[in-house]
Amino acid sequence: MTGAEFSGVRQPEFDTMAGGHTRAAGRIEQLAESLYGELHGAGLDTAPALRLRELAGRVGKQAEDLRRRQALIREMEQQKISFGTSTTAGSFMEMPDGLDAAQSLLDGTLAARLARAAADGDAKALAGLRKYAGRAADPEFAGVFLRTLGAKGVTELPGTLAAQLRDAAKRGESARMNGLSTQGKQTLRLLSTALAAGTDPENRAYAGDGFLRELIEQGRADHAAGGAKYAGYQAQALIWGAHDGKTPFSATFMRTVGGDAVAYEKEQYRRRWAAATEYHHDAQVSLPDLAGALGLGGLLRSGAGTANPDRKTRSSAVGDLLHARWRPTSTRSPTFSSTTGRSARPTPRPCPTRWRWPPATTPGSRR
Amino acid sequence: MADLDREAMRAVVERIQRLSDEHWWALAPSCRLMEGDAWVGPTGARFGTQVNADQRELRDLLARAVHSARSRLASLPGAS
Repeated sequence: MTGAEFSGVRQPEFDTMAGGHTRAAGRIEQLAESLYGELHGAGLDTAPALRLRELAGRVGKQAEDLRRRQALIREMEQQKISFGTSTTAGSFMEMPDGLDAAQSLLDGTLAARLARAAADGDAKALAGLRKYAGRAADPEFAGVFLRTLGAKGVTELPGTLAAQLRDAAKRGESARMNGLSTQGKQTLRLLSTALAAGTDPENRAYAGDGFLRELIEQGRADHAAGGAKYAGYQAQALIWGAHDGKTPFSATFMRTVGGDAVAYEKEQYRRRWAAATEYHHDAQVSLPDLAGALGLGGLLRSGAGTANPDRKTRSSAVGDLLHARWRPTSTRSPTFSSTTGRSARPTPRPCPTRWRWPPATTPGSRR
Repeated sequence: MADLDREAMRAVVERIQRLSDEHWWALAPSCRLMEGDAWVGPTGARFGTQVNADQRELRDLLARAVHSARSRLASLPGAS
């Protein structure tokens, strides 16, 4: 009737069982107490009553598990989250076998929905994401989160954050700016942790080679938020940089997405070089990430000690990824191709190893 | 405490028997629902096995308590 891999519950039977088992635990507990009184009062061996008390404890724990699963099922039903197909055998609801995995699936899906809404500018959704800050380290959560949000959402969320911050700065709304800066950093950290796990073929969260390809597509694609146009890589770079100093990204990620970002930066540079001699003094300037391009300073950077919007910093999209650092300097224009910087800007950026595609590992091969 | 008379002990036996009767089926609904696939999958299967074992243990303990009370009653001098 059901395959070996199928895990799920039949409703309303499961609900009935969760309630019945909970009552049974309570009744056995009472029984143990009453029986102890009788046995002890009659001078009989009380061992059966003591063992019944232990049994009541076990049944109570089982009932607790059933209720936790039941609560998850209810929330999944409410949120209209379905995991796979239901079988033909009746009103089965499929769900992960383990409670933790089920919880991760639920949380990952809900967090991805919030992230998608936040990428569309929903401030409440952005605030709601905070709840999931600590979940990104869980591979099950990270995998579901990334697959549900998609490479487009991953790319556009930082873009929207940057655009909103710039908007707040332009209007001089400092309270909103501070809030956005804090939430933005938390969100970028969440994205960074999840993305690093989900793009590492050795991690259980690995979202697949296809996801890496989509990141590249989205990285090269033009996006727009709040009137600012940007290249996807500029937004993704904010995620790459959102860590404590040691990049969490895998060698595979570096080789594929990172390698393509380097190639893309070179292409952009050649285009600018050919198009406008006025930038000749800036010959070695790299593609800035969005915080740099929009003049947001440290407002979206985890490592930056200050969130001072007057302190304009410039950050290379690629440099952050490859070297986990950025170079403070001055820039004003919200387009990445313009700068007021002087020519004396050393940019010792070693050329990364050649990008190879597809990655050496294929999904499933190392899982 | 151990020197209950026969009448008092008979009452104890009756109360323990009633406790046993009242709780004999306490886990039966869960066992029945699990047989009906209320919850399938590896974890569900483990639960099903466990709840059946728990039911056996429950009944075994109830039977032991009843048996020990009845044995005590039988061992008392048959005064009446």
